[in-house]
Amino acid sequence: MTDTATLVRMVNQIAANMAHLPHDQAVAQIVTHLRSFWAPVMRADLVTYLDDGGLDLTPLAASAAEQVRADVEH
Amino acid sequence: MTLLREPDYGTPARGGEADVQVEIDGITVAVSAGTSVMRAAATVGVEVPRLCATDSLEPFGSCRLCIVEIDGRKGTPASCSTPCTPGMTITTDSPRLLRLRRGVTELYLSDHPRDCLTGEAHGECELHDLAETLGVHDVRYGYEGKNHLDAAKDETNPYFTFDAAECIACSRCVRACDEVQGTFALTIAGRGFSSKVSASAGETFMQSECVSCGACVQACPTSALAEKTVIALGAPERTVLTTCAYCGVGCSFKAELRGDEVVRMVPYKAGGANEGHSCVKGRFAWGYTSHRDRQLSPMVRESITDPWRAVSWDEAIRYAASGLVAIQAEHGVGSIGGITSSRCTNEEVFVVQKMIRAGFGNNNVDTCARVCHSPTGYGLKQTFGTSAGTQEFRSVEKSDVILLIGANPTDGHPVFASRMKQRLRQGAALVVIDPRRIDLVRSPHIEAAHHLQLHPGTNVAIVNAFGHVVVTEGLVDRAFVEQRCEVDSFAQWERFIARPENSPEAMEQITGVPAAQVRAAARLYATAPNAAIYYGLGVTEHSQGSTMVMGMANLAMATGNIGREGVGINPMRGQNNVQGSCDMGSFPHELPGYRSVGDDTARQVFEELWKHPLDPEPGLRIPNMFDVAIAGTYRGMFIQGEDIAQSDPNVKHVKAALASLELLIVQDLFLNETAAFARVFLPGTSFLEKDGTFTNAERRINRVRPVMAPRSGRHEWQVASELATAMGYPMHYDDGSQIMDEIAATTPTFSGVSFAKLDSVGSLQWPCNDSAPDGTPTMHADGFVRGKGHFVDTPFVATDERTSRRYPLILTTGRILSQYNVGAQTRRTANVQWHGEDLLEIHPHDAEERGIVDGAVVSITSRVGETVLRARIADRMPQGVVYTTFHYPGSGANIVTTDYSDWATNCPEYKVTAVQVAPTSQHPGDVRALHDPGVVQP
Repeated sequence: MTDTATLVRMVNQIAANMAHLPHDQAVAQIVTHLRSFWAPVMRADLVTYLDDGGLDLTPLAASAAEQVRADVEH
Repeated sequence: MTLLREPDYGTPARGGEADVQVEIDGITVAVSAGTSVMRAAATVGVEVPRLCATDSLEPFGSCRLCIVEIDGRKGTPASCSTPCTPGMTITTDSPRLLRLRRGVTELYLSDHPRDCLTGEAHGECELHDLAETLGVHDVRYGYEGKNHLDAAKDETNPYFTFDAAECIACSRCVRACDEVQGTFALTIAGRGFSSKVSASAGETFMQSECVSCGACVQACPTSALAEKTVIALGAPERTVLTTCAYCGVGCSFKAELRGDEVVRMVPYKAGGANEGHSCVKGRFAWGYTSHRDRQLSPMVRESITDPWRAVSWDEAIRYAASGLVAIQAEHGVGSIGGITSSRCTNEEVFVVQKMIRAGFGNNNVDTCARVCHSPTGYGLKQTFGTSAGTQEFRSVEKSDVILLIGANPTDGHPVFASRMKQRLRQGAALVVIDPRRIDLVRSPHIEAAHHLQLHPGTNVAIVNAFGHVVVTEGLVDRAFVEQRCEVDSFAQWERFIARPENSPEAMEQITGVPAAQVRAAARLYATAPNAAIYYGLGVTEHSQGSTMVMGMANLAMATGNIGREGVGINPMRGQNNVQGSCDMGSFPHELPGYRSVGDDTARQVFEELWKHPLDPEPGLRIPNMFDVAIAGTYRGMFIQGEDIAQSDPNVKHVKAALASLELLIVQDLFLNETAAFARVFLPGTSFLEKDGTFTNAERRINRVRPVMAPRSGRHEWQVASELATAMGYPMHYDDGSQIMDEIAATTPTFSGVSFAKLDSVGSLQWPCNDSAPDGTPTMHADGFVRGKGHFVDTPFVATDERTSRRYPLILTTGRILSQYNVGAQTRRTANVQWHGEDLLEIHPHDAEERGIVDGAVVSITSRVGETVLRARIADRMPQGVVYTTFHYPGSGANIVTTDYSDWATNCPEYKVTAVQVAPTSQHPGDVRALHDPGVVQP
C-alpha cells in the first residue's frame, strides 16, 4: 500500500504536463509513463483509489487510471 | 610507481600543423607555428634551463636563464618568448650561455636561503636543481647584501605556506592564478628590489580572494609556496594515479606518497578532465579519509535505540542476510530494496544493483541521482536517445556563446569553471539564467552579456520564450532540422512554440524577466557559430525539471547546436560518479546501459549471464520507498554511501520512513544521520582505497586506483557480493577488473572498456565499442542515438508550491566552493575554516521589512518544517527570494523543503520552497549542531 495522496498528486501532475495534447494521445502517454516508471504496487493502488471513487483525480488522470485498470486486472 | 615527474615543455602547445622546421643543437625538428624555441627544444629532449617558464603558463621572459643563440641574430634571446621561424638554427648550450646563466643564477642565490644550495631545505626547488646543473656551488657576491631572507611567512592558509624568503619573484604563482585559475587574487606589489608576491591588496592568503585551488603552489619553482603536508612529512617518493571523489568534473590526480602515507594530491597534467588543474577540495581536502570518525569495523544492534556492537565481517553479513531473508519470507519479495551511491565506483554500483535485481529478486533499486539529475536522464533520452551530456569539457574552448542555466560552476564545478572562464576572457559571450547573481555574472575580466534573473520555478517559461524567438524570427537551422530531426515532431513543436502564450512578452509576467532582454539573449544564442548550454541542479530540481531538459534539447536541435565541438547540452553533474551510477543500472526501471527492465532482449542478456530470472516490471523509486515504508509494506533497505536523512527533502518524512523499517543496512565511511536508524553498519572505503572507475560529467571513464588496502578489510563490492551470497544468490569476483569485464560483456556502450585499456590510454569516453574503439568525446556527431532527434512540446505548468501571505518568500538552495554535498567529507577537513556554518542570504529590502540585521539569527518556516540559521544580507538574490546551502546537518535546510517533485522522475523540487523568515531568539542550527555528534571538527 502506497500513500494515496502522494499517488494522486503524482498522477495529476503527470496529467497536467500532458494536458496540452489531444485527449486520446495524452491518455496514451500517461499510461505509457505509468507502465514504464511506476511499480506495479503503485499502479494497483491507483486503480483501487479509482474504484473507491477517485474523487481527487483530474478527469485526464482518471481516464488514464481507467486504462491502467486493464493492466492490473490482467 | 616511483615518483612520477611529468614532462614540462616550458611553454604551452600551439595547435596546428607541424610545418615550421628548425634546427636545435644540430637536431632538426618540425613544430607548429607559434611554438616557442624552448618548447621545440623540449620536444627533442633538449631542456633549456629556466625558472619563470612552465608549460601551463604563457611565456613571461623574466628570469633570463633560458637564453639561447640563434644564427643570424644578435644577443641571446629568451627561448621561452621567441617563436620558431622556418630555418632557424639554434644553440642552447655554449660557453657564453653557460657564463651568463651562472651569473644570473648566482644573483638569484644571493637572495635565497643558503640551506637550499646546501640541499638541507625540506622541499623541491628548481633554483637548487639549476645551480646543481650549472655547477654553481658558491656565490661571488656573498650573502651579506640587502636581501629578503627575514621576510615573514604567511601561514594563514590551512593547506599551504608562503615563505617570502624563498620567493624569487618569477610571477609563476601570479600567472597561474590569472591564467589557469582565473581568480586574479595574486599580484607582484612594489617595484625593483621591493617587488613581492601579494595576495589581493596586501592581505594574508586567508583574507584574500584566493580560492586555494593550489595552482600557485604547483607553479612555484622554489619552496616559497609549499604544501604544509610536504613541510611536515617530507618530499614524496612515489605516485599512484587516481581520480578525485568530489564533484562530477572527475579530476585526475597524482596521489604522492612517502612510504604508505599520502603526502599530497597533485593534479595530473595528462588527466583529460582537468589537464593539470584542481580545486581546494580535490587538491587539499582529502584528510577525511583518515579522520578519527571513520568507522572501520562492521557493527550490528538489535534495536536502533541499542548501542552498536562491533562484530566480524562474517557475523555482520550473516546478520544482515538473515534479516533480509526473513523479511521477504514474511512480507514478500518486494518488501526490501536498496539505494546505490554516486560516490562509489562503477564496479561497486554495478554489484549492488545486481545484488538487488538478482539477489533480492526485485527492481527496488534507486540511486541518489534521483534527487539531482534524474530529469537529465529522462529528458535527454526522450529527445536524443541517451541519458548523457553531449560534449567533453574542452569543447567549451570552441564555444562562442555560453548559455549557463541554474548552475554555479565556480562553486560547484570549479575546475571546469576555470576552463570556461578562460574561454570567456578570450571573448565568448555569456548568458546566465539564474535567480541568484552568481560570481560569473561579473568577475575579473568577465561580464555576462545578459543575466536573466528569473523567478524560481519558471525555467520552462524562459526556454519556451527562447524557442519562440528562434521560430518566429526565422532563426531555425532548417538544414540541420531537416537532415537530423523528426519532421513531424519538429512541425508540431514549431506550431506549439510559436503560439503567442510562449512569447517573451507573455512570459514576462511569469518569469519577471523583461521581454526585450530575453529576445536579445535568444538571438545571441541562436545566431552564434557555436552556442553551448551548460546547466546544473537549478534546472533539474524543479517540478518541471524534465520538461526543462527537453526544452533545452529542443532549443539546441532547432538552432543546430548539437553534434560538434563548441555546442551541445552539458549537465554539470553534482557528485563524482552520478553519470556512472546511472549508467550502471541504478534506476528501478532501467538495466545497465539505460535499457528498460521491460525490454525482453536486454533482460535476457543479464538473465543468461547471471543465471537468474529478472523482474520485467519497474521497482520503487526512493520517495516511493519512503511511502511504502511508512505504510508498512517495505521493511528492509540497503543504503550504499548516502545520507538520505540529511540530503533528501522533507527530512521529517524521510526519518519517519527510516524509523518504520525493520532492518536498515548502511554502508558508509561514517556513522551518518541515516545510520541512526540502522541496525547493521558496514564500513565503506574511501576513494584512496577503492579499485575501480568513476565516470564524470563528460562520460569520461577514469581509473580509481588504490593508494592503500581497504582500511575496513573489505572492498565494497566484496561486501555486496558476500551479502548476496549469504542470501542464497552466489556472487564472486576476484577483483574490480572482473566486474568491469562483466559490465563490458552486458552493456553495449561499454563493450570496449577494460581496466587494461584504461591503464593503457588513460581514460575513455563512452560509447566505447567496436564502432568507437577510442571512445566518443562528442556525441550525436553523425546522427542521434535514437536516430532522428525528437522534439517534445514543453508547456509551462506552474509548481504547486506557491507563496502566500503566510509564506511570502521563496527559498532556494545551492553549494559553496569549500564544502561538498551534505558535508560528510569536507566538514572533516580544514575547509570548515572557509564555511563553518550554513547561512541564509536575504535581500536587504526583505531583511529591513522584517527587522533583520546582518548576522542575526532567523527562523525559516515552510509548510512542512522550521529551521534556524544566521542571516547574511546580500543583494545576490532578488527581492522575495532567499538562499542557503545544506552542508551542515544542524542547519536543516531539508527540514523545510517539501515533497513536491519533478512530474516525470520525482526529483525533488529543492529549488522552490515557500517560506517565511523572521528574527528569533533560538540558536542557529549550526551552533546547536556543535553539540551534535553528527557534526565534526577536523
